[in-house]
Amino acid sequence: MGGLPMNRRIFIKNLAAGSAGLAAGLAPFQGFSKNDLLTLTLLHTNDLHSQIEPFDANHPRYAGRAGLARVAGFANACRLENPNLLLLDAGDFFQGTPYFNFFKGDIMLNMMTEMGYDAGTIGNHEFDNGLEGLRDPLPHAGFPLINSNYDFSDTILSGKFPRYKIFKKSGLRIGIYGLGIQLRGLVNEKQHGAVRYNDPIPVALEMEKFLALEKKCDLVVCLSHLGLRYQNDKISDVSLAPELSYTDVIIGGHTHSFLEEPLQIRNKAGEMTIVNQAHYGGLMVGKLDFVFREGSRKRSGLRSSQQKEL
Amino acid sequence: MLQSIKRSLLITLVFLTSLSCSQVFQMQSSEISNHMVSADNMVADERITSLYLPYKMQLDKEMDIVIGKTTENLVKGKPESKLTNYLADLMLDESRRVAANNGPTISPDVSFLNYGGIRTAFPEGDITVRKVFELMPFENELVLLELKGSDMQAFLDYVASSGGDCVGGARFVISGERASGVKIDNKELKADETYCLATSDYVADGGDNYSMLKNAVKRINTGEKIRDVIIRYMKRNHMAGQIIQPELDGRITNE
Repeated sequence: MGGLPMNRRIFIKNLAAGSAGLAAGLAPFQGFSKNDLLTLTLLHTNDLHSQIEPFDANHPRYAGRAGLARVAGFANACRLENPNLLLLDAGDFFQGTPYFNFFKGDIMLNMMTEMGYDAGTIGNHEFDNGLEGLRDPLPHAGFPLINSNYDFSDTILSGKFPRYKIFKKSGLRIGIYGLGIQLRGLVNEKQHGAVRYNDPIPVALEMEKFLALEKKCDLVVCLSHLGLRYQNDKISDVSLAPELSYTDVIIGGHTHSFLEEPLQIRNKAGEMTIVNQAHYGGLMVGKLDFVFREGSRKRSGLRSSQQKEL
Repeated sequence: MLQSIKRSLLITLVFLTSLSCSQVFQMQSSEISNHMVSADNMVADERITSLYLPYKMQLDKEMDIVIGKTTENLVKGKPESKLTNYLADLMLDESRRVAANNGPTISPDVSFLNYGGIRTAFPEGDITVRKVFELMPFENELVLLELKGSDMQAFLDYVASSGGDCVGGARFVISGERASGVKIDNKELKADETYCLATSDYVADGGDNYSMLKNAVKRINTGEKIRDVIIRYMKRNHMAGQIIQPELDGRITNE
């Protein structure tokens, strides 16, 4: 297929933050050396579907591409460049190759742990071998699977998945919550049992407010397996983004969407939310770099997007 | 004295806490991009490769057996495609054998695999067991359903509304959201007759919103995995020297 398209980078200058600084009586750039700048890198995948090896050399569409070893190599290189890095996955790492049929979820969670994943969320295919099939390989996951809208309390999975997680990188606080797709109609009842699905919108509103205001996170990330967008009015990342005010990034999955570049969607507060998805099977990795300016003049806690609202 | 040490400790603590609390970050800019994963632009971490190597060797032995040969790439498509036609016809044929072996009086008239459940394409050339695993990774079971003609019509209407799918044994035209002029075994579908549908337990349980299938008059769980059914059919025909050459035959057309 000739050369692969070059990745297109979008550079976003946060003008609002600069003017907020002015409004607050700060000279925006004066007196800040490079040492005051802190970069956070988010790397993300979705729908890995146990595609551990690269696609077959005779695959009609993706011959020789993908492969977890390459994703790991890329993550290593990025980590060397910037240790303030989180490697994330938006779900559906189970099912898709014989590795899953023969070794169940164990090997995939093992691989992701060895690759240095920091967090993931639960996709519908995580239920393919039933609740036991999700529980049994969990000891192999050396990272949390975050979900905020499934209620597992009446199941054997109760307490296994945190509703949120806060990561700290050089003082920066990154709050992550997770949203799973409606299971009814998608996963057979015998597979998901008594897992209750809660409407993602109120859950997201609750989680983002909690993480941004109460937990004072500098960046709020939603790991979503809702899907990028639909023809009908089914909830998706694109329809969720405008409802939210404090979520900076929605990292999605489920629809296997190939995006040449991440999307930017205006949120309820009038700011741009980054919405991204990285195709599937490890064919793509999303890379989101955020540059923060560190200051210590203000007493506390207003997070960037709030200041931007001033 | 002790008290003043305590107090100064406390003050230091408060000072330190307020320092950490007062740390404030403002997002200045961001740079966002998506990166293709390929040998061209990423160097594999050999530690990861060596971790899965023992599993790979174990799998390869079973997976590299050739069980079919195609003359072109077979990719799924709507309203019909060579890949979906091949799989549907295979399902119909093999499920009739399964039904006959089980000895029930039921024999499939129509076969169906849900489009979303067909996970990859068949490339041109040799088809291995591995390909079938990739195509049909799910552990789904072959199920035979006896349906009233009206439910079969509702089922095919839903197939039509989704733009066509992997159907064998039936022909129809997509007219708006409906399947019109349905013919099963070249005869017009009759609402008061019963028909047998061979499909997966996933679909039979109402998955992908095929809830009308829950109205089935009778259901037989064959205990056979769909993937095993496909592999058996392909092996037999490959041994007999057959090449996989499905055709588009207009079984589902748009009005």
